[in-house]
Amino acid sequence: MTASELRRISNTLWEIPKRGMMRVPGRIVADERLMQNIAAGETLEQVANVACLPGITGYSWAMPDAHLGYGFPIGGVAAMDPEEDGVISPGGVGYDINCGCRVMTTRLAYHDVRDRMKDMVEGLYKDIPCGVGSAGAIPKLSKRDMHKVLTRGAEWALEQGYGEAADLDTTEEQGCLSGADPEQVSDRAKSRGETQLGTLGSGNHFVELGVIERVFDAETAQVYGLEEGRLTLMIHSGSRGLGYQVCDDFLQVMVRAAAKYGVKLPDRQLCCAPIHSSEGRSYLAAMAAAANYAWANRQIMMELARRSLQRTLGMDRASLGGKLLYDVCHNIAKLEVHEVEGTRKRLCVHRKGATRAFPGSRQEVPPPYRAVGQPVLVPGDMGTGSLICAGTEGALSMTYGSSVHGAGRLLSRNAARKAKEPGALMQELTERDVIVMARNRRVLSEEMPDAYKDIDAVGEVLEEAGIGRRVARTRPVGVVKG
Amino acid sequence: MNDALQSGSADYGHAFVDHTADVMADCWGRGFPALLMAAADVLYETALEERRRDRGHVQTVELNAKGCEDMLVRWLQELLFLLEAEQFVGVSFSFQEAGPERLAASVEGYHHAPEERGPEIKAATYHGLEVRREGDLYKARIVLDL
Repeated sequence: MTASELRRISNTLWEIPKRGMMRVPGRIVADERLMQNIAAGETLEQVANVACLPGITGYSWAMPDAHLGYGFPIGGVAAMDPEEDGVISPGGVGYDINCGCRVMTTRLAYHDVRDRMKDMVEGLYKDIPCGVGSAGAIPKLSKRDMHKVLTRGAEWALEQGYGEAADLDTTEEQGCLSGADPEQVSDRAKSRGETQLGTLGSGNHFVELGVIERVFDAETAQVYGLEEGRLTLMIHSGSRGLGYQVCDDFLQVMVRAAAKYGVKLPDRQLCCAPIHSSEGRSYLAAMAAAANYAWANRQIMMELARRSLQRTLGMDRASLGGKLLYDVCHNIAKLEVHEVEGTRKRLCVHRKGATRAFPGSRQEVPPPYRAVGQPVLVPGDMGTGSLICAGTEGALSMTYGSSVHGAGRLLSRNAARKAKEPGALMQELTERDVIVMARNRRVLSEEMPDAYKDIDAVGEVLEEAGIGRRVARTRPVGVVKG
Repeated sequence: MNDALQSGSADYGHAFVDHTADVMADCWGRGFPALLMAAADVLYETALEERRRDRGHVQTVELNAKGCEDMLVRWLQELLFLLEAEQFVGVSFSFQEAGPERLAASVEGYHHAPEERGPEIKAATYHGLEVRREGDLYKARIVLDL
């Protein structure tokens, strides 16, 4: 499918007209330039395929950072109505269940600690296990503790001494998705997860120290505690091997379920089951358990980071002032109430590579942010910058309260490796004043800045389309990659 | 079907194809077991900095599936699980049975050290997967999620 087959609705909105098996039209939030990237692959076909799933309401959405995924595109949003035989699809969540981001603000001024950046990055690299199969942040989980992690999420981490009670107040779902059932998580998944809690992983996962270099919205920035020149710490990771295995396990279940319930699939990777079916309920319970694992994982890593920075800089906890701005998931399916054609309905919103972006009018938004909307965290690449945005009424009415989750990949990993060898990349990053430590040099090349779309272009479109509001931009100054 | 298949045989092969986010490769083999070998090579080539030829450890793999595509994905998922959970790398493969519905194989190989690992593979996917047959030649395009 090409862009010429789309109907252009506005500068930042395109529609795939309903055709064939599609139950609703597809809609893509993008300007002309981002659309060229999106239309270059099979992403538009994937948006159309998602529109074929039973119970989908409104539109099959693609965010400005959308790119090719499996079944669902990355950057895809779809809301299914359980009362209209709506389905739940593991492909609409992704392998890394509750992959997400958190940002911690600090009292550190960059100019005060600039000379210590190398030590700080080395400390984080040493104190937060990273890389493939990384393990050992905390002792191997017993069966009993695994059960607690899967049912209670970040709260379990807190009880073990990793963090402060206030951290939960600014974590989506307070770090625990209800309905989790560890019995729905296979032994194989648990075995993959028992040594990986509190570890970063590899690929595009990272810990990043950034300096707030621009404030777009002073009022909201003040509410969020963002001040130009201050350091932030961003963590991007998910549910590690446990989540991957849960997804794998349930793809097998859902292939059979789709046949059992007579769901016609345009792509096997979209396999699914009615939300009310036993298979659908089982997946939701296992997915919630994996999501809770991910929240515990990011909570532990943030606390490890706090301790690491304190140790490196020789300062107490109060002086560091590490305060969790927010933790958001961007690979999830959640039951939420939305207004559809004037009626309030409980829908299962799939966000795959998309972030919830609720305005302050929603009760899910933490009280301190109700005047301005929830923080929406949009990591860019390790050389350019990341955005901290705010949720809007526009997002709520248009995209079921969803927005972008990052810059989105532009180059294949192969192309990125060919474009720049690790030595040259390190040199380039040094010239940009970014200190990087990576477990794997090949991964480093694959994650080079040019491999990603322009974060500022994504941010401009997000704002013009009304699915978010830019609050501040950070520039990376220290990065740890797996 | 009892002959052990060595990685690097002329009876199968693969070529990587550019994919925006992840790893895509065209695999082919003379016979279904050879296709499975080609796919295994893609997995190990992606996941390891260098795949050694060491042997000495054996893993048994037994799988049931519903068709060639399903079996191919389950095969890769099994090898991936052994790689992630036990750091086991397959080098030599002996198939007692390898069809679309049932597979039984002995995999001989080694346990890798942490520093030998490259990127993390999350999963083998069903994305656009179709096993095509031309005479005794089996072909498939596989996608691994990184």
